[in-house]
Amino acid sequence: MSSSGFSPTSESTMEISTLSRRLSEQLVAFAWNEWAQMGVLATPHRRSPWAQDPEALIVFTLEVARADARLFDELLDWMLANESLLSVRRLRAMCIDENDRALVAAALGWLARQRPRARLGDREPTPDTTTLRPLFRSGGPVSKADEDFAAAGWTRPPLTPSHKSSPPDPMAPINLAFRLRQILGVGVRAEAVRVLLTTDAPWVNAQTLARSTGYAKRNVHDALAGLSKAGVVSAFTVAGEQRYTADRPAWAALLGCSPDELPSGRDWPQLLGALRGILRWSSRPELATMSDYLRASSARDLIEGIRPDLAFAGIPIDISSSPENTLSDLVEVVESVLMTINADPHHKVANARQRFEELEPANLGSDTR
Amino acid sequence: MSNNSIDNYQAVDQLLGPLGEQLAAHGESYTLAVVGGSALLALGLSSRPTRDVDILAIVENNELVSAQPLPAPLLDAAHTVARDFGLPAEWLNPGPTSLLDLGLPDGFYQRGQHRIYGPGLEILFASRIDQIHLKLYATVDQGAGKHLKDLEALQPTHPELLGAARWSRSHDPSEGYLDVLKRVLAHFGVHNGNLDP
Repeated sequence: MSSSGFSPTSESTMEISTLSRRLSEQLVAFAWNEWAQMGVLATPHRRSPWAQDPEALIVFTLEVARADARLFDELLDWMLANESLLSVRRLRAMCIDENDRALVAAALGWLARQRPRARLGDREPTPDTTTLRPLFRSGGPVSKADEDFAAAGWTRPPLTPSHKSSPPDPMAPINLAFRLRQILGVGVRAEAVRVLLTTDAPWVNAQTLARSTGYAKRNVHDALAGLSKAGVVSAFTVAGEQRYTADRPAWAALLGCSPDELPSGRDWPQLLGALRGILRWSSRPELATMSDYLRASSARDLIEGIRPDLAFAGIPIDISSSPENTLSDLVEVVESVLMTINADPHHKVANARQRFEELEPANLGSDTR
Repeated sequence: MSNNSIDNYQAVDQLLGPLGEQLAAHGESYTLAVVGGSALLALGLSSRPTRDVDILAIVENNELVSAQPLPAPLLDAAHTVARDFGLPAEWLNPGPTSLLDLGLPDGFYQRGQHRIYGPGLEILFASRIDQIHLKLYATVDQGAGKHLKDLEALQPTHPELLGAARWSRSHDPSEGYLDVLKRVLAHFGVHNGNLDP
């Protein structure tokens, strides 16, 4: 008979459910705070020092807000109010799996009905919608389903816009993307400039910019060639590689601030995608019936899957060679990513330690709720 | 397990158990005939650490068939277990499966010890007497070292060694082999006996 060294039933099931719940709470709070600074009717609890990536945050929030219907509905209301500032192409480019695609399809379908526009009405084929899934994690039976969400495979009550959302304040650091879109238009140029102005790196190549912006490398290259000819971006070649940098003082002057006041950047598509993946994994019901080993192996699959994105975002992952430690490794990964997205760049460690100490493995294990 | 090696019977189970779980989770099921150091550890016949599990054959309808190449689902599951436990990718390998070409000792399958590792994996560990046959052949064919140590750990009797020697000559009837065989048998105190296959 098998004896894998793991008990068939385990405390780790409870740990994962605790991780899932707490991670969900942290991410909902993070999303509320970000959107409150971007035009959703809510009170922000801090001023984010970074420039946010709107489409990456939308796709992230569509998943995270499945635990908070009010946040979900206010996000859709904000999208309706600020639809002209959004890139449908980037929304689709930010999707990492079928769940994302189904959520984006539902949101775009609903927007298209509220505000018919050709770019919104161009629906992509949606996944199998013969079986509807509940959109909200704690939702009960739905007597009447929203048509647009049902078309994308989700069941939820009909969504009516609250009309409470307002345009983003272009002067807030978090809204640099919108300000650049107002200047350069919604497209690859605005995204490339945002990344170049907010990166810590002295230069960026087209491949990195493509990953950061969600546009194809060729499009990025062409856009940067145009910006370079216009004299607002510098291009130079090192060892056969084309590298780009922005004239920060000139851009800061244009934006009415000093170079030091330009917002910082984060690798939002990668960070928010990884968090979305972890949240989805931790809420998978089948984890409850897996053996400890299979659960640990599944966690390892997850970590290996998000490792490239986190490496891109500058978060190295150390994984032990023992399955007994994989869940602790995962908790450390979660903590690292949360630190990166929440901490003020000047107080990163201290603040993050305070805020997320409850995610320490010891605390996870002791929670019995 | 220690230092990524398999050093006791529990360590064998700690790898084959997860392998069985991975196979079952993917709807796969295999019965494998295992020989070598890991089989000796599993049956408590040796304490020599090993780094791999040698697959002699895949059992299909009570028949032993070649394990070369390992089926893709089995290989995938083995690679996942290797990743999870920090083992070399080849920890599960069909190295000895060529032994099937020239035949196994009569009654090998019937004497094997079956262990079940969940619905995805059943292992047929070679019995002690069959391990004596295979280890004697390996000692003569490949040189002393680990094979001789394993053979010593099996504490074979003289009749067992002579029986194994006769069988091994069916694999290699050359004079050179016979010469080395006689020296190995002498090492165990066997100086006389019929060695004709």
